[in-house]
Amino acid sequence: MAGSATPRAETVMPPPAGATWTSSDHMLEMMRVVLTAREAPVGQTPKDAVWRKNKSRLYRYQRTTPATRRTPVFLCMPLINRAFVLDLRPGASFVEFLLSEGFDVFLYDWGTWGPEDRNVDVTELVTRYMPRAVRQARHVAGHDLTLLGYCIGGSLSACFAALYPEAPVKNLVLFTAPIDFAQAGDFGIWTAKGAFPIDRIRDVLPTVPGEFIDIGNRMLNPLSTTIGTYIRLWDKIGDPSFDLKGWQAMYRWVNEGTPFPAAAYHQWITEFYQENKLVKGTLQMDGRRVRLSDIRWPLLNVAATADSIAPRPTTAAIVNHVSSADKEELLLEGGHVGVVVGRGARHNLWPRVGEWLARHD
Amino acid sequence: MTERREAPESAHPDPFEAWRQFYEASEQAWTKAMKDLYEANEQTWTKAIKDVTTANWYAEAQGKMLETFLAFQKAMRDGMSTQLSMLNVPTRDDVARLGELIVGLEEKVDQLDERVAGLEEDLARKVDERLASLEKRLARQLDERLGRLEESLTRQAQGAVQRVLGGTLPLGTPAKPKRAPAATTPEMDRQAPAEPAE
Repeated sequence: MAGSATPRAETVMPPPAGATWTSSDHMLEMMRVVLTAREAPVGQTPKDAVWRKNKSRLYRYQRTTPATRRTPVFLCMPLINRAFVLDLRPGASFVEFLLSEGFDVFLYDWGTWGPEDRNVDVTELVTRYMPRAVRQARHVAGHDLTLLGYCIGGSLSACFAALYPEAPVKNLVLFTAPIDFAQAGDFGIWTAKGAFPIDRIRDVLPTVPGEFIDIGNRMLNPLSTTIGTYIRLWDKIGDPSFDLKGWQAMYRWVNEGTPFPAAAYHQWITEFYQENKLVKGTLQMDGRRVRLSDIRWPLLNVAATADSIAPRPTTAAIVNHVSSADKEELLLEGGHVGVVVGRGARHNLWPRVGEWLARHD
Repeated sequence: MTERREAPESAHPDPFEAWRQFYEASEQAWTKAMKDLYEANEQTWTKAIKDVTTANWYAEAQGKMLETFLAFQKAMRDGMSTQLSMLNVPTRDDVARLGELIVGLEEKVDQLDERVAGLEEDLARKVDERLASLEKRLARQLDERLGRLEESLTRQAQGAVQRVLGGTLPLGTPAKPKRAPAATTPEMDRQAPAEPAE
């Protein structure tokens, strides 16, 4: 009808502070936040690559002042995620915290595996990659190290500690590292012998895609990790106190999984999950038995009460199997990622780890 | 919030006008209702889903689905590989094989590097040990020779002194140089005590 044209809305994004957001505003802003998350700045603490092997890189973080602690920290990262999780952003970086406490910090990033790495297995990672990386870090730092492993990196670190007690390492710290897979939770059910076609996976796929692993992780909490993520974002959009950059950095990390070499995945599922060889003492690497009782370095084991990726029974076993005279466990409320890099970690886990490292310097 | 500006006037009615007015009036309420519905039921729905996904039959069914997918994936890959081979185009596996050779080469270099480092350490340790042993031996031999030299010189010195003095001194007696008589006056001679007999 003539003369009845309704004024069209011209959208201004984001709405000014104090303004009421419409659903369209929320939707548009959410799309912008999610789509730009893949470029979120992460891992910004300056570092130098001091050694490399294949796709892996050993980094040494730059210090602006000389280290005041003698024992450098060697961070062994998980295989299936990007390594920047411990250096997410300024102010939310465990690496930054360690540097501020006076430690020299090394990070071993496994890199992104390709089809040519299909035959790289866990044995090769523990017996060929880790010893050389540790030796190189020792050579560069000039002092024995503290080996700190996170998640699968922790499991590999435990195997390394058992096989190489003579390595230039004086302390072992594990963050939510699964060791005993007898009660491995949902992952144990899904990868059970007879149900999970692990041999077929190894034969067909040169690397297990990051997306495949990611689906498994999301199935642990199907609604919260899918729809719930966006519903919570919907609520927070427009709130001036919402740490948008922090959300984007974590979102980027969660969605950037790295591929798992087929042989390593096969060994991880069969020998660790299905046959639980590590804790039974029957795991062999390079013709040598991996015995957790051969670990004598001082040990700090950090575990989470609500960890669905490495459930409590998987992380509790290590302290009962090592021969270390000096061993301690920190059991914290929270999930697999939250206790290590969540908002509360900088007030809870990090100072306690810093204090333990200082005592064992 | 949105800023509004006047749209140009149109002769035709907007067919979506009614819907748009209804939407703008109720969308906030609808959004809130759906969100509240989700939040109220998230735990229940999650539990229901997990009751299914953690059952053994589900794991087996999932495994079978995965096998089917892998069989399809393999068939696709093999078919593609055959087509590409016929066109003389390298496949991903061909490139991966090259990559594997390079990685293997890097491993051999690493092993050589380790052996060289080990040899260097062994050599350095053996050189240190050898040097320490040589030092000890040299020091001992030097001591012995210096001792003998000293002895020989002493004997020669004594022999020379003996010859000078006409053989009056027994061997081994350290030769005492004879004091030259001091220049004295007769008065001093009368006052000075007699020199002790040798």
